[in-house]
Amino acid sequence: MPANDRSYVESFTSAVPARKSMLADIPALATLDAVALDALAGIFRSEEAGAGTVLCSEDARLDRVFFVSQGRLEVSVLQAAKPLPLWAVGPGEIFGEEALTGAVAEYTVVAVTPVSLLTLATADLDAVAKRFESVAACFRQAAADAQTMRFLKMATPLAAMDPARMRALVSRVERQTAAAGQDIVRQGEPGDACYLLRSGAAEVWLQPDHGDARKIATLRAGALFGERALLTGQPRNATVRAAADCELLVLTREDLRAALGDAPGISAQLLQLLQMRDRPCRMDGVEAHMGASADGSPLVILKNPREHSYYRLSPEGWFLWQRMDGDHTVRDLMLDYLGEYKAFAPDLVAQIAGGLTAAGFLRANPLRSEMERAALQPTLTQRALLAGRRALDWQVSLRNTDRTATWLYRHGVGLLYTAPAQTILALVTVVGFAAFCLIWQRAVAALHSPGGAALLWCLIPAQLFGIAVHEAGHAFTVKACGREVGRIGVGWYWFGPIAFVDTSDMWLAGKRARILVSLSGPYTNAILAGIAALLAWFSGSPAAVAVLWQFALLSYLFVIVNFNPLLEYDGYYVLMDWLDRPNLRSAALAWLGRGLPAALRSRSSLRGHAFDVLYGLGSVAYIAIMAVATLLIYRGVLNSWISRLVSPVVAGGLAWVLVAAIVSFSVLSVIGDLRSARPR
Amino acid sequence: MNRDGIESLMDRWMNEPAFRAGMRANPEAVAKASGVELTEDELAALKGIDFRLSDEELQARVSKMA
Repeated sequence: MPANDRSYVESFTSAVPARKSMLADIPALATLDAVALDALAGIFRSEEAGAGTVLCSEDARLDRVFFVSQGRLEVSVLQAAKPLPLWAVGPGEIFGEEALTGAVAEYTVVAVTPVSLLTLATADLDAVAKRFESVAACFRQAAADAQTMRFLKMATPLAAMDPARMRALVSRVERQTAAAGQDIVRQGEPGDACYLLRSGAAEVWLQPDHGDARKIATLRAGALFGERALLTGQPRNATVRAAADCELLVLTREDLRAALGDAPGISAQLLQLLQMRDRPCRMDGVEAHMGASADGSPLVILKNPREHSYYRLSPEGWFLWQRMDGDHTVRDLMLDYLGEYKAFAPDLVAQIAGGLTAAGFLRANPLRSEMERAALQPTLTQRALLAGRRALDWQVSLRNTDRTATWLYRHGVGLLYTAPAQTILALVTVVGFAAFCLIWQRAVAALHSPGGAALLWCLIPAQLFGIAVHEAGHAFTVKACGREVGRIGVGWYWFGPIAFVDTSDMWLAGKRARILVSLSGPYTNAILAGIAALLAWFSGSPAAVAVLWQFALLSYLFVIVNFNPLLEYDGYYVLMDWLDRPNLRSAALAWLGRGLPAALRSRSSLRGHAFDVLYGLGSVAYIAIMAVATLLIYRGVLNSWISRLVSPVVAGGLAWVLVAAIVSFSVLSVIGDLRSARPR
Repeated sequence: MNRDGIESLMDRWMNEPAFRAGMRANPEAVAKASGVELTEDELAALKGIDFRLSDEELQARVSKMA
């Protein structure tokens, strides 16, 4: 292709020899000899057109070929009564190649900028073509290539390909034909090419290990097939037979890989195609538990014991899950769903299959995984958001803790869950709180006595004990409900360190049991606070009163903090279960980020999401307040601690860096939540 | 039920992104434009396209103590 606009302007104003040289640079005319080029160069006319001028209209007969000297134009087609831009045409490129055959234009070309053109009238071109067969052949080939380009752009998964690469592909792609009834690919044979169906129709036949072959799909113009064997190197998994006379474009492995690397959009398209042609297969060992939602409608919870993951299925999802046996294609599932529920819901079927695969409940297709990596390459921003989320929520844990928890529960702890023990504990909690209030003044006085503040150091091990008992409360209540305890560990969550126990198995229990497990942690702290307050009440030692009362105070504060529903603490799980809205926080934030802007234009849809707005805004506001508090409080505390080790200047700098990191990660994490595409 | 017609729509839905977009926007018009003759029941099934996503992975329940 010629170098720049200027050279074309010069050529445009020059005589025949310069035009000849210019024509020789056009790839489509590269095979013409000097005599033919001379003949063409002598019959060009020059044209000028302003921006917005329509040079050729879809469905109008082409009366000339255009060679662009200067300026830019856009080629588009009408699709669903709207113009669909295909590509831009610039200096050194031609359009209207089909004029030689007197064809009707299948596209519209509009000048985007003022343009200078050389044109070749059909009659003149026809005269030259009659003298030089090579000219006729060149223009026929150029017209065929342009038609193939439009086909690729309009009707195939390669539409997102860069136009320059697509032209290169079109110039080398092999064309084949297949007569009706002819096998294009055969099941079991090696795959060295994939095919784009240019015209005609083909049927896909699957020969199972036992039984007769069955038709699993019909392909029409634009369909890509044979890509799986080509990319994986595995034998063809089905036979494709021409149902009518077919024209085909044959793509090699290199062509397909180049296309996949060209634009993420192509990988995404092929990924979707692979998903549609998949035969979803359940993972071994997945358990299904029947249950009911809060409104009494039936649902099924799947449990993957290997991954400790859970998935909620509606009756429709359960219907599909039972058919995901590796034999049924997604198409079969769609047809079965249509037969059962009288609804054409291919999106729903595909997304349920996609969701189950992503969550590890269906066997992964290695090719799809590879394509997903190619198609879903995270951007720098997405990586930053992910890093922010990971930095604010990391955990170190012990697995296989259920056996220990079960043994302890059966050998003593279970007694605490009997009615008499629970009555006593409830009494201790209530009376202890009363004692805490009554000895308030005595405790404050003890704290202000000489040496009182130093006693606060005793609270550190006491609080560690309180945290351990809190988590034990959750774990043993899980056992009392007959479910399994998951991981136990420590970590960091948003603005501070945490201890945790994984109670996910409670998804298999009822709503009331789930709420009880969530309440059991704070309740355990309230019991400990009550015991401490009662001990302080009966104690004669001011030092003991000071320590025990402070312990009770901190325990009550922990109860309050853990009831905060705006982050995923115990109060959050209580709220989520009470409302029967799994994934409440992520769903509300995702709706706030993605659904609110559209809903603001429609008040009716806003009313249906009032809780999402309220909860989402509350959660964001809470994070903002905590970020400011972190800046004001953490920085001072960190500065004070670090300055004991290094110089005050260095300590001040380090404190700022640490606090800035926490706040930055918090902001990134909130943005990530708001931009999440979680279903709502 | 005109199973061939439905299967034809299904095949196009699976292989043609533009057809999918059209079906989401106006299933009845796109089905008619594609030349598939459908009964009233089948048209009702098309209009009954269901894009709900009630099924989902359940987040891990991690009972934390801050």
